[in-house]
Amino acid sequence: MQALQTGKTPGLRSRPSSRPRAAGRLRARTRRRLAIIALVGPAIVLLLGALFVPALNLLVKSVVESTGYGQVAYHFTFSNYVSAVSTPGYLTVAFNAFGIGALAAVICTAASYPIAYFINFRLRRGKNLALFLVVASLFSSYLVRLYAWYTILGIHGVLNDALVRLGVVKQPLLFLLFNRWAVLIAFVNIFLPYTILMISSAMQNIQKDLLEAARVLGASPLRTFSRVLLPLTMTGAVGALAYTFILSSGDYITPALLGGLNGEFVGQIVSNQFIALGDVPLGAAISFVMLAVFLVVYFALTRLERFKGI
Amino acid sequence: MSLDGSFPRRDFLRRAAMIAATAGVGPAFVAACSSTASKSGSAVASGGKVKGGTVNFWSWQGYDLLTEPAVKGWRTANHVGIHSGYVGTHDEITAKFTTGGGKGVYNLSTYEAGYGPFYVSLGIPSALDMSKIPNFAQVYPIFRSGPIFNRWWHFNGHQWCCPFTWGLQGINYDTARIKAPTSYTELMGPTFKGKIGVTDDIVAAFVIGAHALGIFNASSLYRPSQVSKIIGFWTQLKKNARLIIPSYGNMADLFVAGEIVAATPGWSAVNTFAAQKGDHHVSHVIPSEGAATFCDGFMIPSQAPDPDVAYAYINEAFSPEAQAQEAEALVQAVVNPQALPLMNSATRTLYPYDQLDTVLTSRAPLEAIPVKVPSGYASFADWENAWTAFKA
Repeated sequence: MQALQTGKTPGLRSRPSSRPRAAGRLRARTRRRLAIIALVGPAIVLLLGALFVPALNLLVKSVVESTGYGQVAYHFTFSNYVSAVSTPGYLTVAFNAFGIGALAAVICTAASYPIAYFINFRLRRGKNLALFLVVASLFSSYLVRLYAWYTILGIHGVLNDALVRLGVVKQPLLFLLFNRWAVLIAFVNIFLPYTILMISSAMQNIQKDLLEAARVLGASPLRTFSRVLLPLTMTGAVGALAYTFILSSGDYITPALLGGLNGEFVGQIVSNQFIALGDVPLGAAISFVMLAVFLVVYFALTRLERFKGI
Repeated sequence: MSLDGSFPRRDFLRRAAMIAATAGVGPAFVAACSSTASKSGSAVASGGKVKGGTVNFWSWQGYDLLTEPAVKGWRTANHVGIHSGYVGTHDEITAKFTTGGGKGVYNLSTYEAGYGPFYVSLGIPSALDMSKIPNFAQVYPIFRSGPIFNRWWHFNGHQWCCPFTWGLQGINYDTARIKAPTSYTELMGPTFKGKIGVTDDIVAAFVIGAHALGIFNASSLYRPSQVSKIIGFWTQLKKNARLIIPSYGNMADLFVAGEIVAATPGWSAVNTFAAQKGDHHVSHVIPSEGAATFCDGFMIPSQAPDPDVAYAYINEAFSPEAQAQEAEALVQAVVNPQALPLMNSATRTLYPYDQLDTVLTSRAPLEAIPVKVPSGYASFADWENAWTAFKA
C-alpha cells in the first residue's frame, strides 16, 4: 500500500525524479551560455563600440551638409556622394589605386601558387623552415622595406650600379624608381608572403594522390592545375585576391614614397577631407564609396569559389 | 604609422626633436607624475613665476621644449610637470579643439600665423594677459608691434598668440652638383629634366606659385583663374620633376641618395637634416621671386585648466637661453635677438636675422589660410581639389 501510495517499489533503488535532472541541464545550459557571453561578449562590445557605432555615425554624416570646419547641418543630401564620384581628381586617383591594387592582387596570387605548391608537394623536409623564410621578410618594418627599394632601384642602387659596371647602360636608368611600376613591385614584395601563406594553407588539405591520379589519367600539368588544384584551393585564392586588392588599393604610404609623380591614392584624399578641410560629410562619403567598391569586388570574388575548373 | 614624415615640414621638426625627446621624455614624465602640485591650480607670482602645476601640451613634438636645459631646469626648480600630446599636421590642432577632447583638457598649444583669424573665429585661443609673459618684450619689434603683429596675433582688441619660432621655404639644392638657383623658373630648364622634386606642401606651393607669378597676396585671396595659373606653374615644373616628395624628411633622404639635385618648396632645416645623414652639400636659397614663410606661436586654448602655469611656461620659452636651445634643437629661427650670441654659427646663419623686416614684409611675408573667403575667391578646399588633381 505504502508502495502504491508513493509509487515506489520496495526493495528497488528509487530513480531520481526528472525535475532535478532538468534543473541540472538548465544550470549547465545557463553556465554554457554565460561562458559564451563572457568569451564573445567583449569582442561584440568592442566591435559595436569601435566599428559599427562609428561606422553608423559616419554613414549618417555622409548624407548631411558640411557647414564649416568640423561642423555639419543635419539636412539630408546626396551631394557628398555626387562629389565623391564626380570630382575628376578623385576619379583619376581612384582608378589608379584600383588598377594597381587589382594588378598587385593577381600577380601576388599567381606567384604564390608555384611557391606554395613547392612547399606543400615537393619539399619532403623543412616545410616549416620554408614557411618561416616566407614570413621572415615580414619581421622588418614596413617603411624599411619601402626604403630598401631606393637602394635597389635608385640612381646609385644595386641594379643601376650593376648595369653601368657591366656596360649594359652608360647612364643609370631613371625609370626604375618613382613610378607606378615601382609601387607595384613594392606591393608584390609586401603582400606576397601573406598570399603564399593563404594559398599554402588551402593546399594543405589536398591529398597528393589526387594530383597524381590526374596525371595517371593523362591530364597535363596545366590541366591538373586548372581542373584539380585551382578549384580545390579557390577559397585561398579568393582570400589572397581580396586581401591584396583591398589593402593595396587603400594604401597611400607606398605610392607616396615610390609613386613619383603619380603617388596620390584615395587614402590621402580621405585623410585630407577629415583632417585638413574638416569636411567630415565628404570624407565619409568617399570612404563609403570605397567600401562599396571593396564589397562589390569581394562578393564578385566569392562567386569564384564555385569554380569547378576549366 | 609614421611615413617618415608623411606631413610636410613638420615631419622634420618631429624627427629633429625625436632624439632629444626620447632622451628627455622619461624624466619629464616622471616629473609630471611626481609633481607635487595639485591639478586644481598653481600659485603665480609676478614675472611669470609659478609654484607647481602641470602643463598639458598639444602641438608639434619639440615645441614643448622638453629637453632644452633652460626650460627643463625651470620646470624642475618650479615643480612643473608636463603632459604632451603631439600632432602630425597643423589640422590636428584644429580638429582637437573643434571636435572635442581638447578644450578643458589642454592649457598650452600653438598655431601657425596664418591660422590666427580662423582659430579666433572658431573660439580656439583665449585672449592672453601679456602682463604674465614679461619675456615677450624681448622679441624683435616686428613680432610684438606693427601690421604683421596686428594681423596674425593681436586683433579684435586682444593678443591671442605669442610667436616664438619661424622659418622660410624656398628651394633646397645640392651645392656639389648645381649652382644656387636664382629663380623658380630656372628649374623648368632642360638641364633639370628628371632631377628635381616637387614637395607635397600645398600651402607653401600656393604661396611660391603666387610669388613666381607675381600675384601673391598675404590674404591668400585668389580667383579660380589665378588658382589655375598657380597650378599651371606647378604643372610646368612637374614636367621636369622626378617625383612629388611626400615630406621634407623624405626630401633629405632623396638628396642623400643622389636622386634629386633640387627641390621646392624647400625648407632651411633640410640642410641640417641631410648633414646629419652625411650629406653636407644641401643648401637652401630664397629665389628672387620670394619664399613661403611660417611662424608658430604659443596660445592658451579657451577653457584651459590652470592657465597660470601655461603663462609661466610660455614666459620661460622666450628667455634667450630657451630660444637659443630651441633653435639648435628644432633647426628653426628664433624671435628673441638676445638668443643669437648664444647659438652656434651654423644655426645662426641659417636664417637672415639681419634682414628680418625685409624678409617678413616683402620677400617672404606670412600668409593666410583661406578657410573662409568672399564669394568669387578660391577657398582652401578649392586649393586642395586643384592640388589633388595636379598630383593625380
